[in-house]
Amino acid sequence: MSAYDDPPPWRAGDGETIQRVFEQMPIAHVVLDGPGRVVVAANAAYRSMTGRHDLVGNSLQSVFPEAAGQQLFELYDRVYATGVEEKAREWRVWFRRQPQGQPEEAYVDFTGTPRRGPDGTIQGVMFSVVDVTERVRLRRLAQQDAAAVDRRYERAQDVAKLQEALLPTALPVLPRARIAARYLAGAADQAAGGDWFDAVPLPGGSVALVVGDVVGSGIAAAAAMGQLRAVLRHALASLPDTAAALAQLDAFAAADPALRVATVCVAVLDPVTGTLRYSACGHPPPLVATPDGAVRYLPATGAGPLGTGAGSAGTGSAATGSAATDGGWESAVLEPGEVVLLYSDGLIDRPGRTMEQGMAELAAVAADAAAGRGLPAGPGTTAAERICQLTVELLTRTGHADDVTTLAAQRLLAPPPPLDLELPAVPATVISLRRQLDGWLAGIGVAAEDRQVPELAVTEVVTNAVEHAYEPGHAGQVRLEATLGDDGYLLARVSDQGRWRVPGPRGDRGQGLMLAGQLAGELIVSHARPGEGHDDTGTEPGIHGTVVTLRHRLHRTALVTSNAVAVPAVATDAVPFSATTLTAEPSPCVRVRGPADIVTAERLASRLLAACRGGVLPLSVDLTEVTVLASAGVKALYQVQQRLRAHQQELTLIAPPGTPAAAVLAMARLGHDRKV
Amino acid sequence: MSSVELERVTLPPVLGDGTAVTVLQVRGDIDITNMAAFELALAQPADGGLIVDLGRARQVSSAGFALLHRLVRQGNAAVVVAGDGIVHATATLVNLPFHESVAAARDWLAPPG
Repeated sequence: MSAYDDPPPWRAGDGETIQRVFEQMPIAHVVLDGPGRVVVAANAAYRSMTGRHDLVGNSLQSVFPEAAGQQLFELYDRVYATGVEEKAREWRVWFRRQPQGQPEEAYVDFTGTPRRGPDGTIQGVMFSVVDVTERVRLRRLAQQDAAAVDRRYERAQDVAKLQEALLPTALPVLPRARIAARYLAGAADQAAGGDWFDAVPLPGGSVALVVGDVVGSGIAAAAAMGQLRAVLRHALASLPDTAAALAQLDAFAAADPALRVATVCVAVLDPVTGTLRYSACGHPPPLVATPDGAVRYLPATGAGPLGTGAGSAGTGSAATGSAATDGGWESAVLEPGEVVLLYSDGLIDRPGRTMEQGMAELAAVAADAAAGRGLPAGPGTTAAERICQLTVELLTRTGHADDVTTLAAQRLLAPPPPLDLELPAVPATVISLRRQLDGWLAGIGVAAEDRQVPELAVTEVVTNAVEHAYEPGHAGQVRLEATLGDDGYLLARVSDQGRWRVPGPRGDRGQGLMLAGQLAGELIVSHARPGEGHDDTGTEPGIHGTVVTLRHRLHRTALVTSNAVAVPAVATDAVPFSATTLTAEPSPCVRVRGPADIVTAERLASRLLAACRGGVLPLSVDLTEVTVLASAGVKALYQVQQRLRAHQQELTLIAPPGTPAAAVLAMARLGHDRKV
Repeated sequence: MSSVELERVTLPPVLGDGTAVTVLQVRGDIDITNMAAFELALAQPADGGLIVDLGRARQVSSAGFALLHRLVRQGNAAVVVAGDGIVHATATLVNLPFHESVAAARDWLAPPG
């Protein structure tokens, strides 16, 4: 006799009625079964939305193979394994409405609910899905309109201005490395946060990549972040050794309590040799992805957070160190085409996930993005851009409380070839050269909005040559040469073989060169003397040609966004914070449960200090049942440790392997015992 | 020749006895290849005043700005540069007086009341 032979009194209705209602429900529903994700039911709304009628009896992955790499199957597997419902808002999907058709982009809201059998075991997962593509499209249009009208007023928002001023607005464009970054403000406080990133070209063609995280959020964290970023930038620019720069930052942070326990990862990439020297000070290690989708985390470096004295971040030479760990620095080799990714802990430390799970998910998404599998990231995007975009997009959709920052650099096979064009000095040449320069700049990775300035500057100089180098009726040539230097500067050289004429009193001439110089930043005019090469004195009118050299730092706009539809981070375990004293004096032990994060950090520090009488008694803290140990919680533990040390007492932290606290403590270089 | 569109639009007078203001809308690039056409468009009569709206211009060369300088110096004309793109940046660099909206330019040319 089965469970259904004797229907219980609470049964919802007869099977035929339920089937009819299910079929007619306006919201799309699909029901899947087992670990193989086999479709056992799909109502008319779902069939209509997907355009597919070959669903029942087939697995989701066989009907929608293009969904691989979009985290959909992984979400199903999680719900199936854990029995915990998951919701998503405005999830971007890419699927075929016809088996042989082209994939289409859509946005959906959905809920994945575990489907249980009569005995309570999970049999599969039900999805209710709403196609919100039109809603997203209309909202974006409305946002564009509103942005155009209110741009000036939006900028009046003090916090947004502060954030905008403190984070880099641009990334360098380099000949041997493609760099991309993405910053997403935390959902809880989208105004400003403590994450920062930077990419700083160094002498010799190397580039320093930086991702850091200051404890906390809001204005104070943003201000602290701004200080650290400025100090590190200055140190990188002024000191010959990156390790010395990091040591200076460490010392700076140690002197100010607001800056202590900030974490930072600095990686110096030499794109010619592929040597990557890095130090992760309390920060998760860099991830490397290959073009074919293999990924590897680089080893930890053993350096602790800034200003804590845990580990030595600033010793050893970033320029000359060996392959072995060298005073808080490690080295690796990045092969051509490989991408190194630096990221903040907001990307891996997310609600309902351990840090290990978060790192595994990050690796999986980065692998797909590097190989160009799964969700498209847009036409013409590089591997570095895809990794930055898709890791942030795919891994924050189920909630994120902290800022999320990614910074990636791809080592290129070879620098771009220089541009060298020579055309008749006629008006049409101005247009032709500008278009070819535009294509060349696009090819080396300069975004469309960032190409306008160098193009206008060069156009002005070419126009000047076309209009004034040659007498009317005399044919001549104008030549444009452009190269991208290792320092990220465009060097554009416009030359002619005509006669230089001093601008007349009306001032009609000279405006173009003035404007070009203002736009480019650096402009040098040199004239040829008879029988000589060019000089750059500009004192003698040339009769054998003029050369105008423009130097302009190229950049790409860094994407700094707040996510208007961010899902608030809600811990799925819902264990409340508590700190309970288990054993009393003379050796108190406190058991901490629930989240140790920015909300609870102050209470945590207060309870621990009370238990150890302000630091005069040795203290043990059991973190076994801590669900989240965020940077604010780490800072609280550091504060207590410092207080105990002032009284020559010890802080013993207990975090068994596999617990959320263990991984964080290891990264933060806070020593701990493995068991109670 | 670069792609540029020059379109004249007449704005009705604010008051019944006012004079209509002409708006020259510029779309695309102003450069050496279309400078003559641009100069001709600026020279067309506009009794109630001329507003040159560069809000949809992609780029304007220094020679184009020189023409606009001359136009503004002659009087009864105003330039509009909206947004914060490269046209705004270059207009600022060459010290061209401009307004940020057609409405502001019209009020400046023919103050209401």
